[in-house]
Amino acid sequence: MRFSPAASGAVARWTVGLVLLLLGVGLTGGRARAQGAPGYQVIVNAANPVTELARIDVSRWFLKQSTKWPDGKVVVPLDQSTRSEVRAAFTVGVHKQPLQAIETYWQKQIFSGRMVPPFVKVGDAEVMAYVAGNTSAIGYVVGSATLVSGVKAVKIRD
Amino acid sequence: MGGVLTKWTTELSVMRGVGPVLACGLFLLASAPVASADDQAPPAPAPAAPAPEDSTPEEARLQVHGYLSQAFADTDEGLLFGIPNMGTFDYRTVALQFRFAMTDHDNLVLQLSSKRLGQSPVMQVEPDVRLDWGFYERRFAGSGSFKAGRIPIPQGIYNELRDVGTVLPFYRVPFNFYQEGSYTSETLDGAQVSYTLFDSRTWPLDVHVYFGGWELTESLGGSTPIAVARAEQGLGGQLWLRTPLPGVRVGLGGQTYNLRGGSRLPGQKDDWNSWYVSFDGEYQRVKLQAEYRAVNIGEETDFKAFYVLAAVNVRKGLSVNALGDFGNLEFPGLDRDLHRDWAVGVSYAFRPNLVAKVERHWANTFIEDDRVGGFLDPHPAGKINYTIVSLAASF
Repeated sequence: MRFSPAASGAVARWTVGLVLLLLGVGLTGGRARAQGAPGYQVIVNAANPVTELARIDVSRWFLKQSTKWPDGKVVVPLDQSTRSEVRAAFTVGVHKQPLQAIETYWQKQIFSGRMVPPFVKVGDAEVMAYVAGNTSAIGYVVGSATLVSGVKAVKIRD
Repeated sequence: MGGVLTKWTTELSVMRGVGPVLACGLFLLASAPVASADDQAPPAPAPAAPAPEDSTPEEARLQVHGYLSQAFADTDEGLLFGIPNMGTFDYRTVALQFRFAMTDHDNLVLQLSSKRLGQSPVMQVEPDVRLDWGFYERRFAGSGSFKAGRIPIPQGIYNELRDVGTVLPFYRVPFNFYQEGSYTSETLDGAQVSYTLFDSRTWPLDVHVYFGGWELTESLGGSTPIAVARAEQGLGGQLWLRTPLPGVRVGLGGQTYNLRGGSRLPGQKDDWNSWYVSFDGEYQRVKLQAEYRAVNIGEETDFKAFYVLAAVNVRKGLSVNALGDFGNLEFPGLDRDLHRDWAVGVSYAFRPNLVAKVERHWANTFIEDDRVGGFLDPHPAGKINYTIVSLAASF
């Protein structure tokens, strides 16, 4: 595709203008999510002997940087939707990073051919149902959620 | 495996016109207001039946991902990286990745890609669509993995990600360290083992070792014909030491191989050896990266590359980026700064998977695409300023 110098300059100016316009729209329209995100509680299977976990260990499991429970079993982390408020709260609380940074981290892992993100269950009910049936699973639900039988909350220490 | 992959690539290369169609399709997919596949599921369904004991979920055995970077690029004067002074929209990378989990430990990964570099001479040998990756992966012992097939080479911060615009501060990865189009390869045909040592400690160490070969395009630029050489007996490694500071790691790597064919006489080979160090820091709003590479070619030629890249996130999604990129080539009778590139840019992430960038570069270079004698031309370096405006998307 070839352009005359004049046309090239015009296209460049219009393109830059368009991008700046998009930036402006993004800046004014892309406000942060609603304030007052709910808290979260980390849950495991009721048969899992752990009662307390280090935050850094939980973070590494959910980033798949570490993959084993203390007893040697493979950890099965379950995330929630990136659109959920509990995901945002968990990300800030456990990873100490904004959700955007974690999404970028997973893009790097996917497109370097290394690994894909944890499986996603939509909503607390799905997370609890899965964790109740899998002794290696770990998930998180809204802080105020009533836990079903078969799962328990664990304390997270810094 | 290499022969099969070569045949695949050859077959794909005749699929003329598929690249733009793939690009348009990917752009439409990625432009949809969806951050990732997980968000596509309907909200709050009824509780699922209990899962089988100690197994991963059955859904998403096949995952499909892709990315696209489309740019308009323009130089003030001259032809560099295929960018003419008349500007070009023929500047993009696009890829589609399929990942199939055969079992909890076994995966098959295939990635098709298409790349356009405007009027660059290397476009003469670039197929419209290529088999980028095609490998089998076996995961073991928690953090370990074995890969065989056509594999992305773990080399430095960006080699495996060099075309993924949504995670790059600039349209292109730093040229001197990673090269572009010629004298470089993103993949090898062979095998790789990766493992993380001290997994549960404060300073985990990621270890990658690989062996194999790859094709490599040689282009001196100017009127010199393009040649395709073969890197053989390639052996390399990459270490990454993660620090207790989130997002900060340091790397050390090396690579050795023999280069045959291409511009060499039959039976002739060059020994290429390189080592490099990396600093990759991203902490809160600041990103700071620097890499140094020393390459020894045969007994008399040395190439050294260094870059430093800084980025500041000034507000949500908006980053100001700066780059200083230097390369020096030395052999008997010649010692020159092959390519220097200073750049500043602004990138805005509407979402993590949709990023717009505007960048301005000031280059002092011997690698213009139309330099008569190629980069060995005795005349002074050319000063070429260029601008790239791009939009990157992924899903």
